[in-house]
Amino acid sequence: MTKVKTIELDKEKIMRQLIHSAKLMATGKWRLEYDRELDQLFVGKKIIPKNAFLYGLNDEINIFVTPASNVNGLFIEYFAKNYIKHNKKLSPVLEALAKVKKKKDKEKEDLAKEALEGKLVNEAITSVYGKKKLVAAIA
Amino acid sequence: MKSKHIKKKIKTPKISVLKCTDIFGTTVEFTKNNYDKHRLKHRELENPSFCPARIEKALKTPTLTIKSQIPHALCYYYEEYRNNDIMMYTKVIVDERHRYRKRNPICHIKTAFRIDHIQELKYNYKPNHH
Repeated sequence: MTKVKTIELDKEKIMRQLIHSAKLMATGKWRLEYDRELDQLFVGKKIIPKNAFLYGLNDEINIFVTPASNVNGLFIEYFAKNYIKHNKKLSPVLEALAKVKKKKDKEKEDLAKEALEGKLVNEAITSVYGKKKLVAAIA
Repeated sequence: MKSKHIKKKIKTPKISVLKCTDIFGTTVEFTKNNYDKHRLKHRELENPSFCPARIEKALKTPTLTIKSQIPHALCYYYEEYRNNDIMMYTKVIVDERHRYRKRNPICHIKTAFRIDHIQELKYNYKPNHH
């Protein structure tokens, strides 16, 4: 039988890292990847640590977090079919992410990505802030 | 010489990391190509107890299956454990486009990972409990 233990994640630490993550995205230390086939959006480290797990912050945003509360990325399923539908202002992001990269699109793409990153980070921080405790069960 | 102009198409065989029969009796394959696309993000894929073992379990004896919002895809969920209200599932997303074809029916695993909720329930999709 799997031995399961409940851990409480450090809310303050996670919030601090999420605030800092906007900078990580801007400097390219975190990569932004949209899988059109699976309609999944991933923003995070190139290689996620082995002990990181997905933790759902709200109905849409998940974070890759380690038991020591280190945030390594953000993950959204059904990005175009759901997330963008609720956030219509962000639809240019999808176009930018799905498009074959041309030099002239670069500026537009950067602006769109910046908007997405800002929105994502804000939503993630709001969700963390709204929770009394961040409890996860790990095996 | 005619043969000079004939170019032979050589198909490189697809390497698979998993091939098994699912609960519906269809062969399901996880190609190395798809596996490599996701293994640095979903690191559980590099753990043999998850891939192939846990994925195979999810395909053969899923807790539930539910339609994906992606066309032609089905999600298999296997409940790994629960602690009070917190759950952990193995989720396997399978492309079932070729499930019902007459010759060589086969499904392909798009990706697999661990997740603490069933996303599709939020869109009122009906699960099939097994």
